[in-house]
Amino acid sequence: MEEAIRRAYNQCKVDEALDWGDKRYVDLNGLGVRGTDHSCTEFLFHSVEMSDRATHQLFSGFRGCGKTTELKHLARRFSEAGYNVIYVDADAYLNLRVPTNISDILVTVCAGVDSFLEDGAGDKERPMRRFWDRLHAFLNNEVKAEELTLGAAGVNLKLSFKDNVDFKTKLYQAVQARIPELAHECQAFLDESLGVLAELHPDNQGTVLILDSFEKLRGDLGTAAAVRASIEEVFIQNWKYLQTPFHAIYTVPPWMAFMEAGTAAEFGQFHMLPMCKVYDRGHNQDEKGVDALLELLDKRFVLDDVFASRAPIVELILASGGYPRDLLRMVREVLLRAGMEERPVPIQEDQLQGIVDLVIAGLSEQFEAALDDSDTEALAAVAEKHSLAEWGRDNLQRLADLFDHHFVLSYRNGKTWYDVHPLLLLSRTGKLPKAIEKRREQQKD
Amino acid sequence: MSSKKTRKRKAPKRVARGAKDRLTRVQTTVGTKPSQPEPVTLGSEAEEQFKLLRAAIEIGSGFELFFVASDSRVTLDEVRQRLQHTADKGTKTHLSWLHFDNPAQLIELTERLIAVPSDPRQRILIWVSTCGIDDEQRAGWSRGLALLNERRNLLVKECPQAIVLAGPTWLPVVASDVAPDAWSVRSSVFVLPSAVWPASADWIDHEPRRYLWELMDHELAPAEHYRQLADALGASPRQAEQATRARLLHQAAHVHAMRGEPDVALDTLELAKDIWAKLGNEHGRASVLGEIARILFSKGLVDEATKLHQEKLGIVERIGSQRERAVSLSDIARILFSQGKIDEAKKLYQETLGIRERLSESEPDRADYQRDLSVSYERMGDLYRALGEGDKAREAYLKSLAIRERLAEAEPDRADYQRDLVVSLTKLAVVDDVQAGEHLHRALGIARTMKESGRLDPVDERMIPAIEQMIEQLG
Repeated sequence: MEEAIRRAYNQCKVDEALDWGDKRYVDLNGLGVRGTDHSCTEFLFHSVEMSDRATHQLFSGFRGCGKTTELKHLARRFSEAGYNVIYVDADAYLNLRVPTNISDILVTVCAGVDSFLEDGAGDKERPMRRFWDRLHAFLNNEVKAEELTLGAAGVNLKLSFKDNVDFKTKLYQAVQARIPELAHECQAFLDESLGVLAELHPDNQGTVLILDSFEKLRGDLGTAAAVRASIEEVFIQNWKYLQTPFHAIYTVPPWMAFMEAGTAAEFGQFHMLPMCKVYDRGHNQDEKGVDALLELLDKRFVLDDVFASRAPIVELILASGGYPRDLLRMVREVLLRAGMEERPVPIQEDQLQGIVDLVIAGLSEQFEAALDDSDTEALAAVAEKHSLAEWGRDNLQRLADLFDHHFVLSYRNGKTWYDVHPLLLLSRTGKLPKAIEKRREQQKD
Repeated sequence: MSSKKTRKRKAPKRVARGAKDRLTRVQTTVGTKPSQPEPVTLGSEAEEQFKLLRAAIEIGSGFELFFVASDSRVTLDEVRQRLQHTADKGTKTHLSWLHFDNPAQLIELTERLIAVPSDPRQRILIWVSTCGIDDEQRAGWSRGLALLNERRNLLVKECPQAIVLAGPTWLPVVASDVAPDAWSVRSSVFVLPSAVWPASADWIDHEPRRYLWELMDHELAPAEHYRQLADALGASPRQAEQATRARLLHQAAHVHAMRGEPDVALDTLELAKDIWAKLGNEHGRASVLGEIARILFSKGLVDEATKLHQEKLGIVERIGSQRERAVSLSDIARILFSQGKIDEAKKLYQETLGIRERLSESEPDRADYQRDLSVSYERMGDLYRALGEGDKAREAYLKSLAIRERLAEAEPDRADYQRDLVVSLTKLAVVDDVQAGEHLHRALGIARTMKESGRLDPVDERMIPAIEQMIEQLG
């Protein structure tokens, strides 16, 4: 097997978010291929820069569209602009399978700040009490929940919070009636932290907290509805508790974009990171978007060294719908097949075309297999209207599932619009194309 | 080809498993040496998929998540054994096999994966598999994958290995539903059609999917086991998962009923009935109605039971299932018989018999039709015996026995067919004064053999002293 193929295969892994400085990073926002009128990350950055008060913003995007990569770059940008950046991966603290609660998020935010202070203090003695000790004292004195605090001070409490679902359930039950007090306790900690941070970094512009991975909160098959309801409760009823004394950016699930007006009003605009636009609403190829994704591949391995022609690769790009993770996966499959067949590099166009056809057909079959018959009608409507107008609020859960499957992708061109994943339109059995045809015939009648 | 047809094949062995044992046992085998496999041809498509999988393992690095799917368990075993064989030949790959003997234990999947020790000198390939009834596997994978999804980041960090999740062809679909984060970072999916087997294993391709109701009673796990698995599928929007959930609830109810908890069983069946109704699945709803009616009958609520049997009869007549219609008629006849309404019962039993004779004549290869017919003859025998018409009873029992002997000969490993023989011979002995002793001795021999081989349901063990007593009474 050619070493170039092996190297390229490993440069296209789909499970990596790119850190700052990673040479494989392509600024899709900067290239304007995620929407020429609007760059989410620019908006997030400048909202913080221009505001004289703490801002609280909601950020979302489909799984694998580059959200974490963009947030990591945004964090770096804030850092270079002189901000303390507290990056909290909710995955590390929250159990993303059980319904959440405002106390859950408050504790997570405080835990992140606590950890940041701990790391920043270095060898110096910490100027303020650790959050976990304060929480322990609060549970002991205010809630008087002995079973929660017995032998669980400080570090132990932190471990219990992270890993013990039963403990968290008891914690929520115990503080249910004392949310304002808990919020007050957390607020006091954050206020004090802000002071400490100002002392530690007197020249800094301020502090920005980024809570990532919260959008992954989805529950399992038994808890999905309850989890979704709990997220709504946090952001509708308890939003005031999330008004931290410093700037905060919260990632949230994409379906929150469809909650009734006013839900996210307290947070200003809801920012959704769109897919890279590789075609327009009329399915005409968008050269700029295609070029951007060619560049994305070229930064991972020299395209022309491996492929003798780019035309079949453009087919992969179009089939991906501008979803980077699917594109990388398909390119890997192409490389895998070429490697298995011991193809010399650069792989000639006719050979490459044959492999690309097989790979598209294979992934298309996977999409088709996951498509439930009950969804084809609604997806046909999305394909035609490029909007989710026919989805009522009652269908949020199903909508969330369709987003999870990437059956529906979002784009931006002046305003947000939607389309079905191209692979669904390319399937051999054609469940969705048939539904689209049926819809057209019904409209004629 | 229908899976219910009579074939000359080895049926899956029904190994006695204690219920408690079943809940707690996790067979996790790490790096097991394979037994010497018989050469197996996978077929061109599967061979290509296998080569791709092998290449992917060979060239990949760090965390990789593969799905290998096939509806043939032996195909999956073959692929695993080949990978093991390749690893044993001194490549820089070591295969660790995590096999979950009980699908419910897949909730430990993430922890088990993280616990596999890494080795800087070689790449670790972790092959994950489970076995068991299709419904149980589906629910087990759902739960395990949902948990894996939650801890996906941890897994990527702590388990930088090549992970292969191997299972039926529905496994990738379930993964995309319940574990979208993990699914979105999958490396590749390999779907392998069933293999072409060597001559000695020609029965494998025809191995029917085992459903819960094919289990012997003693193979049943505690009701909570099925209930938990059903709950794991909870709010899945997918019809296949909901159908699985309804079947698991049905099974949980069956166990509750056997355990002497009819009320819990009825509550559970109501849940299953609602699911079938939401799915618009009349077959499923009819099946649950029949079960509810049988439990009500056992509680002495004869009128309610009859009403439900008639409701079920209406459904099966609407959907045109002659086989189910015969079951309903037979159930109603049984109630009438118990009430002493012999003539009415006789009429329905004869109608049942007529249906079953027609079905078995139309498809003589179908074992299930043949067995149904044997049951009808047996019921007619019971009825004639009650009427004091010994000769007719003997004739009916003999017809039943003849069918059962054919079935047992075709599939000697089927414990339920052996049990049928014991029942037939015992009943025949009661109405056949001349050969009673011969029939009873034969019945006793079969029962004892079953017990010795662990294939006699514990609740049936009482049949041995009962037959011994009958022999003793014969003098």
